[in-house]
Amino acid sequence: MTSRTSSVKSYPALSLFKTTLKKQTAATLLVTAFSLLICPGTTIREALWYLTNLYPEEKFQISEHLQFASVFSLGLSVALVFLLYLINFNFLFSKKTGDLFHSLPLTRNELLFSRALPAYIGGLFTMTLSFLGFCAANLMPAVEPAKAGLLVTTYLLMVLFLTALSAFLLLFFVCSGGIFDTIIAILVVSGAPAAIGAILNSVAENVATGVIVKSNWLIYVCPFAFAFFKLASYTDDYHGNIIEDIEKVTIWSVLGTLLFAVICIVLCIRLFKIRKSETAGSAYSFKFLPFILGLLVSMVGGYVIGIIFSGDIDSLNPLFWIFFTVGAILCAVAFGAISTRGFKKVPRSLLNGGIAVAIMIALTTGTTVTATIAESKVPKAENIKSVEVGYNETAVFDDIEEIKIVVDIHKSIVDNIGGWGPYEHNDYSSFSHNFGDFRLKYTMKNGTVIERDYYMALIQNKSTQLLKLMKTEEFFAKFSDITFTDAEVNFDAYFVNKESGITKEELRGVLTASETEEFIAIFKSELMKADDSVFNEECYDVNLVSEKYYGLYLPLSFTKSINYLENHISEDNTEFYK
Amino acid sequence: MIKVFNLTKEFEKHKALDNLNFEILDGCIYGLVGSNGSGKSTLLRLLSGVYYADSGNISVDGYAVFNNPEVKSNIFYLPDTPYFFKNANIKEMAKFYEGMYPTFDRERFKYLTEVFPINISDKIDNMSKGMQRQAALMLALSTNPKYLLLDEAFDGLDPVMRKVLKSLLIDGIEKTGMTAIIASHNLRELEDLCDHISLLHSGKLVFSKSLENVCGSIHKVQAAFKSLQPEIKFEGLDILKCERTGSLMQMVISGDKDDIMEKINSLNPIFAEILQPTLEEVFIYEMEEQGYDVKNILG
Repeated sequence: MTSRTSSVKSYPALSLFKTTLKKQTAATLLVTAFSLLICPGTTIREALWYLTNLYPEEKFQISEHLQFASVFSLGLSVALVFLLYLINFNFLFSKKTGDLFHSLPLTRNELLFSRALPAYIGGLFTMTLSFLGFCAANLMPAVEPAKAGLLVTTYLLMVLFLTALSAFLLLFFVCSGGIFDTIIAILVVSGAPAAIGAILNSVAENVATGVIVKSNWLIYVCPFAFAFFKLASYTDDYHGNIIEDIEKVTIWSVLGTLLFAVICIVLCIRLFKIRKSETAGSAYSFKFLPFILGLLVSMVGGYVIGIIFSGDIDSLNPLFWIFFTVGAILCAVAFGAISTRGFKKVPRSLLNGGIAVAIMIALTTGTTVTATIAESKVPKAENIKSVEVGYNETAVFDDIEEIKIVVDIHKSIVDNIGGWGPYEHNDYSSFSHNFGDFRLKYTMKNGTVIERDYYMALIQNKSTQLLKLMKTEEFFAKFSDITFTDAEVNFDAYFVNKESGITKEELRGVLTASETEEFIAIFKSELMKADDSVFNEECYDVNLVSEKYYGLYLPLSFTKSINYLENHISEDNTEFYK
Repeated sequence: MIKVFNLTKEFEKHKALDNLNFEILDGCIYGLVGSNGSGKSTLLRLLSGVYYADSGNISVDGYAVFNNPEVKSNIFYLPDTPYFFKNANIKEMAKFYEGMYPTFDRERFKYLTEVFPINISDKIDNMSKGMQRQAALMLALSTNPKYLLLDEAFDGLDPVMRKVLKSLLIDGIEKTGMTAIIASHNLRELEDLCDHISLLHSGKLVFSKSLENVCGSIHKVQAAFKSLQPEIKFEGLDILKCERTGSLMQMVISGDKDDIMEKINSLNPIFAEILQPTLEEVFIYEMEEQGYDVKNILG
């Protein structure tokens, strides 16, 4: 009997890894070529425009292209990883292919990584080459290079995000048994939580007058949004924070991404180990996934149907809830039919739909209650460190007496909300274009920040309230803290009639610095004596652009101030505008 | 040795295999037969580690199969529809298997390329079903496994290739001590080849015996009579099947061999002999016992 032992030591996992890497080479190279055409292709093209003396004295600020280069490279690489997963994990979608791969002398972990790592390496290769090309463009003449440290950290961030997103995508391949179902799962899990979040945000906005509902948290429920927005924010050189309120990358977001990647990988390993190979060709390999997906689809689908057929997004409208319930159940049944390839498990789908309705009702109720509580919340003056008031002008009040004035205004707004119907709060046509938003931003002593944004129409006794604010030291610091260094100050004075508002009259011209200071003193004395019988809320507006320019809305009753201007202002402002 | 103990496998509440218990000795050719959907392919997939059992266990040389690369490196599973990489030829597939199985024998592969009349540079996708089966067998035999699991091994092969396959399997067993487990509906081929047979029906093991003992109490009798005998004269004999061609009668009778011959001879036949029933006849009989027969199916 001959021996069957080979003299050559074999490493099946390594062999499969190499075979996989080899088989995906063509696809990887093709995508890489396309990627290089875009990045650094477009960057080089831009730099060449500068080189060809179109802008002979200017240098191309390549860092302005960094955001595009990084986001594009990352995006294309993630797409490539997805494509390669489709190719490398086709044995999870077909019993015939599955027989071959599952019978190979490999552990489940070896099988998983020998197919997943080549895909990741392919994506990393494309991303690295593309980004290196961009970095090489930094060396071109007529290019103002980006800082080396920025490029390195950007690349490291890209690698981190690629790793996390690749691990996240792999989860769906491990849990699904068909290509179509994998794609559906990725779309639903990535998009539905954010959609639900946006729906709840909209509920809160609709319910709570004045409460500023932030939407930046939505990126945290979608890994793709998180990665791309964070990267875009970090690399944005031109506009500052491209997305309002998206924090730049912090150590916590890096650690969080790492942790997310690790969790995804651990889950992949665990689930792949217990995945039944006979589920190849079925929609999903684990029962929890169609359940979760069905819930998400029902919650979002039901909401959309509710809005369409009730004609409204108002969560307090019973008609909306009727259509939402019907819609959610129909969506659950439809999704169940797709995932079971037929109407085999209708009772389970109906239950899924019912649970989705219950969850959405609970979430909406919770949001409504929270928003209602927030709407009526007025912080206590003694707990406030400072408050920024924005109405035409922005002033920050930190004196306790001044803060109390602001809090009183806030209370009067909150008391007045009840008198308005839900639609009138957001009805722009109700308001004159002269009324702007009244914004409050409290910085509490414990560091928290509370923000509100109201329409002026909600403020009762506007003139009285605003006059109190104008009389505060803080507000007047706008005038007195300015040192007019120039000989001349350009002046715009608009006149306000108590009843009819801003008149058509206007006084424009130039005052000297000393005349301006004299005028301020006269204006202040008249203002301190004024009451709301002469003061109109439109006077709460000082267009102080700089120490060279001054703008005021003067009540017609401020005769001393008006007389001073008429007697001293020179209408010849040609010197000023030189 | 392969030991199967209390093996059960379910698919969505359907029991594909129900509490199987049997052993497969080393160096034998083991035949797996059964009705359609009886669980043959499922059993092979469990033995090769493609599936894992819901309960019970499978041990190969004392070790579990599932997720055990060392054990799996000794097993080669060839399913009824083998898979090949897209646009691959036999050479490329051989290279792949060489990297996967430490026992892959290049010399044997070379020898087999001469035995099987197919071009190893041609794309396998473009080959006929029979040629693809030959390609798969070539690769399987080249890996020199200790346990070769074949699902519908003869499917698509012409009579000459079937003979070739049988020779190669016997050769493999003699030279390397390989154990072959073959699932097939082609009972005639298995009859020539196998030492042991297991019969499955609806996931249950009907029997697992050596080929000699498969017949058991079933005997085929061929006898000729001078004139037609009414059946009543065959009283005392448990006739399962009876065919007449003129004065020649072929019967399948259940009972003790000596007893049967005594009774037949008492009827003064021109000649009478007792024959080994074919595996197919045994299969049909056993299936009838399980309620799976033509009369029941057609109603």
